[in-house]
Amino acid sequence: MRWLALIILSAACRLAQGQQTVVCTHCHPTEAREHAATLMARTLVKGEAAPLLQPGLSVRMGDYTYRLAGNSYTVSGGGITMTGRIAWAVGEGDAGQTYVVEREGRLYESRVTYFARGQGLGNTIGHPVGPPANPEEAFGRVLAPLAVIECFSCHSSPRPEKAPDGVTRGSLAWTQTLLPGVQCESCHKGAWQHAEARKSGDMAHGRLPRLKKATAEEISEVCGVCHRTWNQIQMKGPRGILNVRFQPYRIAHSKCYDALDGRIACTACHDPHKRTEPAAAVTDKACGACHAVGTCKVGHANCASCHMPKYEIPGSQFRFTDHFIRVVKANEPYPD
Amino acid sequence: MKLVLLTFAIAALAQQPEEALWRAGTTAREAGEFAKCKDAFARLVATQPKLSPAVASLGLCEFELNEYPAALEHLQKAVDLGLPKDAAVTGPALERVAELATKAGLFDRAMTLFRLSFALNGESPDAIALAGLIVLRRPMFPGDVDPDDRGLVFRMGRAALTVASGQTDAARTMLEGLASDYPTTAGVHYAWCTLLLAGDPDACASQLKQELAVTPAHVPSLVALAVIASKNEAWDEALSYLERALKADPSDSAARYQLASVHLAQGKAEQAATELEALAKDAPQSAEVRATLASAYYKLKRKADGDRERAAAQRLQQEKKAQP
Repeated sequence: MRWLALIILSAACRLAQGQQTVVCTHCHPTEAREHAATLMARTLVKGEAAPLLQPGLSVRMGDYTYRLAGNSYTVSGGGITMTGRIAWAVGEGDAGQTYVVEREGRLYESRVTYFARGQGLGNTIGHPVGPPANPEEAFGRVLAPLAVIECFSCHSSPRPEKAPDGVTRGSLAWTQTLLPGVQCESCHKGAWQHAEARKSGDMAHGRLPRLKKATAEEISEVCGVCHRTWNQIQMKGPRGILNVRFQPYRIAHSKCYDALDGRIACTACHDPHKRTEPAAAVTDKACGACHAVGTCKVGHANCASCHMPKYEIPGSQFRFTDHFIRVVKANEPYPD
Repeated sequence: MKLVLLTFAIAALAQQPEEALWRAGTTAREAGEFAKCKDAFARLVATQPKLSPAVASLGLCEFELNEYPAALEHLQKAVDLGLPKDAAVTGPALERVAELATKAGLFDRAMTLFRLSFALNGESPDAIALAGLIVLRRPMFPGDVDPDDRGLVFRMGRAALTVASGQTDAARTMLEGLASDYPTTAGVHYAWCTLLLAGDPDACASQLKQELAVTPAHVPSLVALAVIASKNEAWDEALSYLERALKADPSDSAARYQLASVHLAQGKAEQAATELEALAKDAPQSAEVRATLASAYYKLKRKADGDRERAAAQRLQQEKKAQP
């Protein structure tokens, strides 16, 4: 079964690579190829193409039974059966995967999510905890157009051409006009015009900001579009442990954070064009850019294991790395 | 009777000064002697500035004397200090401060205060009318509504309360009825957008454009359309709405903030910083303005200024959270 999953996953990688803006590949072949293998590039796939759904998944929650297979989402219980079509699988599945389900012209966020750690379905974060109270709650949460726009603005990228007239933003038809996954345009705003300008030889009008030279704060603004900036979390929350997953916010609390110093930018540890590397390998190098060997009285390697503790958001079945870099005190409450 | 009460009040003054002032003020208020009531509570507040029931009582007396700006200031201060739920003064204070904020045209604040008041005081004809006035953005007291407008104001208030109770289908029917019965009345389309369509930007924009057809200089609609356009990164469209908004009301904080935000997003950090600095002077308590100003400074590589503004934003936000 694992072999089958690997073969399907590999096919999905090729599919994602095909979705990569082929236009960019001509001049940036290494970045385009490597990026296609990242989790970000594969953070959205059509329901029928989601490898996890091919063998099928099921779970029972209280009176309700969930069966997900292919692109079919079925909830049975209380004497009724509700069926929807899985339009999109959101998240690559490395941590988890939630589903956008279409039913009677409406889009829903599935009540159940696949969690990699538990190797199965569980309660989607943000939905009521415990068994569903009624069929409506059991099926999922209705997604208003704004919620669809917000979800897809991070899990997909715009195409160069405008959506056809008559397609309402936030509708299922609108989601189908987008490029699945985080693609070049997501971070490099104006990439499409840049490519067009390159093609026509008019580079004067197609220059892109050089993110390689960007400050920590400028990179946080780019990544924070989806991972949330300091301003967003400070103004609108959430507060407490729920904000551990918003890394640009958390890192700005660190004593070593310097808004103008690229050595503490997100990209100091995370190369967005590459698949995540083991934490120790990248973080030790990044810490070493400022801290001399021997600075720490406790250890000399794997800095993040002590200075960036992991926290599990209740119900998430995933341990998030806290990007608030600090000297952690024993039994300290979560520093908000 | 009044004479007896006042005699008691004077006698009370001879006792413990603070307790005596409290009793004197309360007695005068009950007797309808609002000038005396104001005087007693003003003296008490001078010695006990953080005693929220006294500050609220001072505001209530000022309200009765038609001294509305002072009443709003004191009642708002009492709310910020925190009013005990079981204090006799809390219910009337919340009701009056919501009315005063509405009368002053501070509709966003009025809505927050109205929610607090409604949770404590419950439903009444005045509460329904006040909800309608806030949503329609009409700066007046419920008692001052023109008889010809009462139907609209009450129906809109009822729709707002229906939305708040989660009955969105019923609220939609009400709002459709209102838009059909009052298609050319100012505020109706805007209210529909803000009450029910926050989750559907395209539908909301359609209502806002209908509002502009009725009231071309409706500043909140222009700002809301600019926000929607900004989310779509349609900067020129956003700027054109903001230009219209600021032409109608150059001092509108929301329009000024949005304009600076658009400039910042367009990479015009210097311009954004200048606009935000001016705004921070006019609205020093706005954490959002200070946080965005910090972003502008960081873009300009002014780290110390950015750090200072970010710290100020954090402090203001913490103070805001500490309020009830």
